[in-house]
Amino acid sequence: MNCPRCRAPLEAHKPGGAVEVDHCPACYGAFFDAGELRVSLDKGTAKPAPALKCPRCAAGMETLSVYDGMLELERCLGCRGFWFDAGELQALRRLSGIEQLVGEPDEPEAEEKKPARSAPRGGGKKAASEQPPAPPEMSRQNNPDEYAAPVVKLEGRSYEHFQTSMPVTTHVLGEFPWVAKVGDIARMRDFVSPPFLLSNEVSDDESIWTKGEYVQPEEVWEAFKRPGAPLRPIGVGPAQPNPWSEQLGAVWTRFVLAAGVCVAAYMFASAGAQEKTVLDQQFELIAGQPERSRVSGIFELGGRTSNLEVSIGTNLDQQWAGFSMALINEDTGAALDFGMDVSYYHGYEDGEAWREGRPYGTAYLPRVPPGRYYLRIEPETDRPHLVYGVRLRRDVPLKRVPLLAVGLLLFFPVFMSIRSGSFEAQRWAESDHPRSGSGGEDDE
Amino acid sequence: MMTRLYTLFAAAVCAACVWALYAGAWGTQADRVEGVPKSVRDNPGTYRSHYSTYRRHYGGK
Repeated sequence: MNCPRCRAPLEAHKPGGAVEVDHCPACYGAFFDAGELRVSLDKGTAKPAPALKCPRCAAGMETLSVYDGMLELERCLGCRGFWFDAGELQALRRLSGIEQLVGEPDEPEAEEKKPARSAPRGGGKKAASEQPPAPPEMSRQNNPDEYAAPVVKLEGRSYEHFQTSMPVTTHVLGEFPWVAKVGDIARMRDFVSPPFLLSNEVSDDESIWTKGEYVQPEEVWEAFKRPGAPLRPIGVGPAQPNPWSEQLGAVWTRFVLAAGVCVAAYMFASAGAQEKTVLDQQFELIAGQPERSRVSGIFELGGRTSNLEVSIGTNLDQQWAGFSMALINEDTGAALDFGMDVSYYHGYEDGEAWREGRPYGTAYLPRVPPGRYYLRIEPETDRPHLVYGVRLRRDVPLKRVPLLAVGLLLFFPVFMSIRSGSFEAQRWAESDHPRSGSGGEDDE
Repeated sequence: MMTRLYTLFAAAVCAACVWALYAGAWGTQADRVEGVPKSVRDNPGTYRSHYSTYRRHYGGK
């Protein structure tokens, strides 16, 4: 039989049992006859794959999309065998949760999860089918790292403890520079400092440290000159670099600088502001008067175009007043119409004093050009005798401007921090130290 | 990329903040009306403001 992808002759081997799998030594694909898989793949959606012919019966093949499209593999339209490209078996293991994929689907151990460490891949020359011992249960007694959370220092980097496990050798495939046999148990401790991972494997007679570096899937795919694109990564790897945290420091630095500029601008504007009172006048309204509206004296607004603060103080007490106002330019007849509500209620109820509103109010008119002006005021109230004073101040810097600016500036760094935290939570979720519960840090 | 985008955004916010503080370009909503008659000063009732967004409030707990 030849590989349907690269036409290389397929090699048969038995990965830990009686079932024989045809494996391509060139592109690392594998062919499974119908019934050889423990996983049922009948529920996927299929589309024709005209470019491929079945290596077993030469019939056409179809592309089968399973697990909500997260995995696509080829199935023979004739003998119903399956073709897995390189990496697809690992994806099926991950998606199905079944470590040992080969065998009869109705065997009792089919649903049983095997130890996390999978059998090595590749063109093996020998296979062992002995039953491995069950891995020891990890607990606080045999895993002190879980609460000690040691830190390892190497080459100037601090590696945080990620996980301690007791992997058991369940299959041996291929050649090793040491004696490897089914049933070997080691104590494996992983420490991370993305993108690096330090692993310490301790057996009865030796302790081995290994340093690894996370490599992006695309880089691996390119290095091995694989066709197509790698599978989309699922989850977060222990040593996977956090794409958010890399830029987080720079963004927060820029936030501090920009917020400083806004605050400094406010302080500078406050120091140079006129804040000049241009009108301070009192009026009254007595119920029954035929005309409620009043006009102020004429006042001069000097300097550049700027804002105007309009403050009204009243003698309201358990009452409300609405003021319809117009700032009218004496020379041009142009006016700015605006309104203001003032209400003041208070009392004592159920042993508690309460208060709602205040007997005064303030409005800010934006960008008022210099000129000669007067103010027309038309109050409406339920108070029989309303006395109110109006005070106008020119060029008053508002605190809310830098506050709003800082709020806007804050949004992006906070968003990035949340995303970064979420990424880290995903990374540490599978570790001995989920980020929801923290442990102490001791140097080792 | 994100750092560069944020730098541009922060620069724009700073510029808007400085301009709003300098020009007093922030405040209450006001309607601009042209051609108010001169007689308003002598007889305020000849001009009625169009501004009436507020409503009578009876307040209290």
